[in-house]
Amino acid sequence: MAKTWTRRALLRFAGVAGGAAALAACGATPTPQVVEKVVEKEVTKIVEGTPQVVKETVVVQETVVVERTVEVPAATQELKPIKLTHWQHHSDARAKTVEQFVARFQDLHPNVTIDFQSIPWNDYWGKLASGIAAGKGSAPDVFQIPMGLVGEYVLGGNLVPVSEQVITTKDIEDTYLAWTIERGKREGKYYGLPLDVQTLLPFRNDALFQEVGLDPKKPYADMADFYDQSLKLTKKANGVTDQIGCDTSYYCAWLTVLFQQFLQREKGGTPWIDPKTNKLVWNDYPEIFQDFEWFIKLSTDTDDDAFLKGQSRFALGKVGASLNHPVSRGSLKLQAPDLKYTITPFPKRKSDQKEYYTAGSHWMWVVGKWAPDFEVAWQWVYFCTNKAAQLVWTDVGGDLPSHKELVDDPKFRQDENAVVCMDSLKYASPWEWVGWAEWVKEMQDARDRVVIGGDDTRKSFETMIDNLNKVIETHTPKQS
Amino acid sequence: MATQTAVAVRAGRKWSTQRRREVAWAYAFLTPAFFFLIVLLLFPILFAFWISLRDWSLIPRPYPFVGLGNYVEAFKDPLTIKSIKNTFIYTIGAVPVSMVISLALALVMNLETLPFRTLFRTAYFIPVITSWVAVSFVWIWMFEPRWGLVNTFLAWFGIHGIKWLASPKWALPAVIIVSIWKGLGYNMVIFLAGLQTIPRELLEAAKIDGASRWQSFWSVTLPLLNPTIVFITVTAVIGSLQVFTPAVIMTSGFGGEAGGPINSTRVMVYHIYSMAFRANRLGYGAALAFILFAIVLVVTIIQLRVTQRDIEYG
Repeated sequence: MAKTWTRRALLRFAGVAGGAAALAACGATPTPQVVEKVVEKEVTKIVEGTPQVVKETVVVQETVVVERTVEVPAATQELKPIKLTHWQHHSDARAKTVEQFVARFQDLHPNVTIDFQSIPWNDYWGKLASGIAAGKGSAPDVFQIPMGLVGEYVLGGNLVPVSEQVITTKDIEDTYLAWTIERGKREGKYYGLPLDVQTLLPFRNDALFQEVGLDPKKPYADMADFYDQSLKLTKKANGVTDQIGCDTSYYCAWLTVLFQQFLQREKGGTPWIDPKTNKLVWNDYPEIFQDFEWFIKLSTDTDDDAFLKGQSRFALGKVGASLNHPVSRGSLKLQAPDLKYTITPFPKRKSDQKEYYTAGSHWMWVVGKWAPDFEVAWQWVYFCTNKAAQLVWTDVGGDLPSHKELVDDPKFRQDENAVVCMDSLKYASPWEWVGWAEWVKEMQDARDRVVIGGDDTRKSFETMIDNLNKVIETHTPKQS
Repeated sequence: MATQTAVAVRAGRKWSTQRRREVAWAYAFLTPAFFFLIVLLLFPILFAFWISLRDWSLIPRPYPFVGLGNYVEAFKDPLTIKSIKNTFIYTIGAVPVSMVISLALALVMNLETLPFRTLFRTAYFIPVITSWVAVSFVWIWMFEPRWGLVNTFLAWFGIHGIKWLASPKWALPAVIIVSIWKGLGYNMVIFLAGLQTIPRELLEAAKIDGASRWQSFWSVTLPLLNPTIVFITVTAVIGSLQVFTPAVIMTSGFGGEAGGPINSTRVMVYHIYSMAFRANRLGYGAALAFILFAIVLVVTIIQLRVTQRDIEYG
């Protein structure tokens, strides 16, 4: 049946349409609600920011936008169009999260288009280097780099500092954990905002601890206690290993935490590189060599390189304790759902050490100097790294937050292990390294030369320092 | 005389026009290939050489010109020397053994009386088409010293305690064993093709002359297989000098550097990759790549000189 229009209906329609037109002219647009739902899924992620590339599979909750429309301020409708390119290395969950952020940001800023590209890990560095070398038009305006590379990128003149219009230096310092922004600061300015935070903590197999009469919940008294407990957990006889007390295969992490713990806790945060000589200070302190010897002894007595080589020994229940990132909880949940384990703080060097220590790592989101609009680019970065965004990121990737207010958020402290992980954020300092692969390799070789090759410990330690000093020199930008 | 010259000029002009047209067409057809050759091959090679002369970082910054500095550093770098040495040991270990075994296999597979011949040929070829990554992971488990299949098998013969991938002495041999196993089928198929080109009359004549099977193989089959042997040797040596995947996957630690333990399996291509893309030293990595290119070139020329010879029948 055809609908007939009465005069009253026509007038009512005209009134409504006129009102809508008037509202539109004033700049208000309809504002349907954003509806989200949370789903669980498995993803593989790369533990980022560390010099070693570690892939972990995690179970995550993903927030999915079902419907989205947000209020559009009238003023933005008349701004010039801006297109930003944003690159990051790929993981399914992360890519989907950024796509959601893109949609929301573009709704809020209709004149801005974010060209987001999620690039496979193996292609990321080559593509980033060639893109930046090619300059404007090819280089990404916003991209992510590990904290240890920010300095080199800044010295290369590739980055612009955070826009004070978006977030002031004071606000950055008030908002983010101090150690997560430290590596992004150059000459009083911040060049990146932190994400993907991880620390390093010992994981203990509860059953194996209880089997030898140890309490897995009780933190280590000190490093000597750690060694004793690991030795007690080791099952080696007649050249045959059935269980190892401590998995020391994350050499680089072990040595870094050990050396930095001494400098941070007993030497008041002495820099690991002497700024005058641009060389490591490790040889200046006998305590650091003692820590190296301790690690060699721990490796020799409580570990066995040949035992289940290349496999997830902790997940297989064949390891008493292992040094891991909190994100490993996700992969353990998948690989060994029945494994009961306890996360504890890294052992203090001495029992009278006042505070625990661990090394932390993270990535930074940065803006290239070729970005078409620095302020908008930083608005986009801040949009993805602020408190609300970090709540989503932590769900998605199992990362620890860099936002101060989230450290004590009950949402992230729902069990004893989570509490230890979140507390570690309060006493961590940045994991120091230069040169990435070369750094990892030198630490690996230093340990292997003694434990596998039978070399002299002192000689191997000094070779490591000499080689690392060369790495530092190589990666210190020279004047052309 | 004048008439002859005019004819010649006319003929010349006619030929010249046709010739020009042919040349034009030839260039028209060759242009796309030349374009891709220059853009995708020649230019990148020249540009890579240019990069090798600079302190070129993967992190964009000014790239100071260092001349041959990267090349000099490479020859002074013990790690480069070690990786070159490892690459040669791998090649010397993998190529001859693989060739001998695959030739023996091909001779057996060539026997018309062999039952299930096609099945065996397929079985030996399966590793060739299997992913290097999958193969490497399977062999990591097989080489596991405590519970691995290899040591369990060796234990039956009273051999115990080889730590394979955890031992600087045995890690490279382990990689060589896997490479030989994986490459057997490919070489076998090439040898089979070579064997089938040998005229049956020659083998029958040798048999009639009273030659034993060994004499027939040594004096007839092997010389006639020379082109096949040359082909397999050259391609296998070039492939071996560029080995990468098994040496990396089988020796990667907890996210750390591959090529261990203590650099015992660090091969040249991984060294290049590590320096260029993991240590961000693209200039140095490019110099290492040109050094490897020079090594491959010299080895190939020597091989061709040594192995290529005329065959005299008579």
